[in-house]
Amino acid sequence: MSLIARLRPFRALVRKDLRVFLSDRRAVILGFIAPLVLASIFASMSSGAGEGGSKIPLLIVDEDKSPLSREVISQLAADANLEVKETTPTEVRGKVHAGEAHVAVAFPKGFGANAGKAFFRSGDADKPILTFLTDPTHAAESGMVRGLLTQHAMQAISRDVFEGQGGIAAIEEAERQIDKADALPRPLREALKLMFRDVRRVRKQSSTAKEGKKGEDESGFGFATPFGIEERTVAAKGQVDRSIMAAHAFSGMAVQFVLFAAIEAGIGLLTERQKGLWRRVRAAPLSRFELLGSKALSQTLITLMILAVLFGFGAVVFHVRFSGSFLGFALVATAYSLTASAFGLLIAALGKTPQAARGISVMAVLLMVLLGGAWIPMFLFPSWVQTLTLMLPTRWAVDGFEGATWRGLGLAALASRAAVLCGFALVFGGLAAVRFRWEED
Amino acid sequence: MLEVCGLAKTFGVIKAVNGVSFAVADGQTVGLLGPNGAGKTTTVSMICGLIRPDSGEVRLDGHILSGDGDPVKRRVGLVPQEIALYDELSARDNLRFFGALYGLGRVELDQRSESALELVGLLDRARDRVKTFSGGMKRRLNLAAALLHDPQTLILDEPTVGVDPQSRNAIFENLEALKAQGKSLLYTTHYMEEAERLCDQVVILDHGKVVAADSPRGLSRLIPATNRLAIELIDTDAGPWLDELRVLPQVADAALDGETLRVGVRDLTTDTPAVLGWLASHGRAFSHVMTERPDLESVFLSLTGRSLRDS
Repeated sequence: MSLIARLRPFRALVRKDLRVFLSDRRAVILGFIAPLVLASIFASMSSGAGEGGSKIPLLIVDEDKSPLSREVISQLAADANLEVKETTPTEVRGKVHAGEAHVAVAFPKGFGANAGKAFFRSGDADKPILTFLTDPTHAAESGMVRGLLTQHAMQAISRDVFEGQGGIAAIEEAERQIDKADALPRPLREALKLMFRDVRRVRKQSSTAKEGKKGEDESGFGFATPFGIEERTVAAKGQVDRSIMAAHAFSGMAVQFVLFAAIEAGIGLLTERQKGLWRRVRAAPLSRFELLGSKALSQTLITLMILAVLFGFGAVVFHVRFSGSFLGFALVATAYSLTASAFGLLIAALGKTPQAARGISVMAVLLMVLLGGAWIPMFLFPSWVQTLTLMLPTRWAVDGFEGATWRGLGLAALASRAAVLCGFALVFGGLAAVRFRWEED
Repeated sequence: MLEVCGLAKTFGVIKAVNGVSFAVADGQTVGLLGPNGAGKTTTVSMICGLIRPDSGEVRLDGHILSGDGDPVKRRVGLVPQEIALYDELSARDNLRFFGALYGLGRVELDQRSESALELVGLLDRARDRVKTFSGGMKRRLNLAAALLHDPQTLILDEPTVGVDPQSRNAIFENLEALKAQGKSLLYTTHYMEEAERLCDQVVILDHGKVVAADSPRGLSRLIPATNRLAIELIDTDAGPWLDELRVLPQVADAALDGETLRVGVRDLTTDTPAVLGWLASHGRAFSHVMTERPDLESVFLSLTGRSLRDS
């Protein structure tokens, strides 16, 4: 028998799987339409955020009403990252609870009087305490507000010390504390007194200068952030935020829906078994390699089709660019397709019935996808989880697809990720081959 | 020719098949009868190479079947109990696919698909998807899918389950045509009337063993009352007379079913006059007398103590 004739059954098995897949409306929707729609939504949403969209809503309760507290609040209100609203102590908790704001800050009575004094003194005695109320689901925003508040409060308090009415009282109080502090070494005490004399001199000079320049520059002296920040995105040359976010969205959805397609393939085989089709196919003179190999190949081809359509759509509509090696991308895509098809075979090998297999495999895929960084960036996970996810093919696939697109990795780097994915394919495929039920009764 | 020689298979502690042997000659139809769990499906699976037997062998035209990829499997066509077809594909594409699994080329596939569709009367629906077919049409296509590679032996695992009488008759005609072509048919069924109509030989399985194997007529001679009388009584009142009849030495058993008295006799020729004479002398007038041959259901009941369909 010629080689072509020998390959006929194998070719027929692969072609049949492709035809059955393409004629199954549900499979096509799940394989092509659903990931396209979801990736487009995520890409649109995330690219909007990347173009400087929303501010953090911040509620303020000012129980002090001092010039200093008003100054800090006005600086917060002027910050481009914040949307500040004032409220009352009785309402603030309910509003955060209801989600009207993600963070609230309460300035206590005596904030203005005590902040300046605490400026020159270590220890917590009499230090005014600002109360933060935070929505636990917005911990990152709380951290950002804390940083901005510290920046603006330090500027306002230091300016008050060097120029404002509260400053002279703070200096006098600090000098009294130094006189009382017997344990303080004499040279240090003299040095501190000298420093406060200098501060008084600075205040006097500042006041004189202000009177002479009335109506000109009103900006006073005070501590400020001792550096400026210029933010630049670290991505492959030519990548803009919008396309980077789109690349992340399409990579994540591709990784997820390829596994969903693999579940369908595994369940399809279980359904064939249930319907007696597998008995009929196995009655033909076909080796086990032909039977499982054809399944693996057809699913790999289906997966490659899904990836081609997804990334093609992403490139045309959302300008996802392949800044890295395209050959490397092809290697990662092929390796991940092999992994997914082997995963599908494993489902077919371990599953008893289609219904039972679907529930557990969907759960497994969702976990792999979540921990693989397909939905949310990997850095949000604890470091031990990040290490653990190296055991998951989804992590390597996301890494590979992002590497080929916005990270712009070269062939060698992508080939290493493809090699790891091939390892997963071998493990899944090997387990499937060992556990596959061949006895038909 | 199919030869099944001493097949045995154990699953865990259950001995599903225990030394089953029989043969199906060319142009012969053999019925494989037995209740659920008797070992029919396991036997069929071993014949088709789906299960490796623990011991024994299957020979097809003298060649021993071995392994998944054994070319000898080309000599067998399996019609599974389930409708094993791809709903999403057309009738023709289903046949082409199953034919291609046996290495048929494009030209052969086209020719044989048309012939098989014509045989089962579905040529006009060749392009339609299977999911649009009725149950009977699917059953007929299920049969056609096993014929593409022109196997010498056809294994039919309850091929008429759930079909209407018209489709059942059509399938019977197809099978009789195949038998006339010289094919060997192994037919498993629960329906006694099908086995009696189609089969030259019947093999009865129970608990994984062959309990009887013979022609339907030969099997009917195995049970104690090989002949039965059906006597329509004019006066059907029950009474002690029925018990008196039962103890006659010529009577194996007797039962009243409405107006019909059924009596099993040892020998039709010598015992019938004695029974009829006894009834007349005891005032039991009758209007009609018939003889009945025991059916396979009765044979099975007699051999195993269980009814085929209830077990």
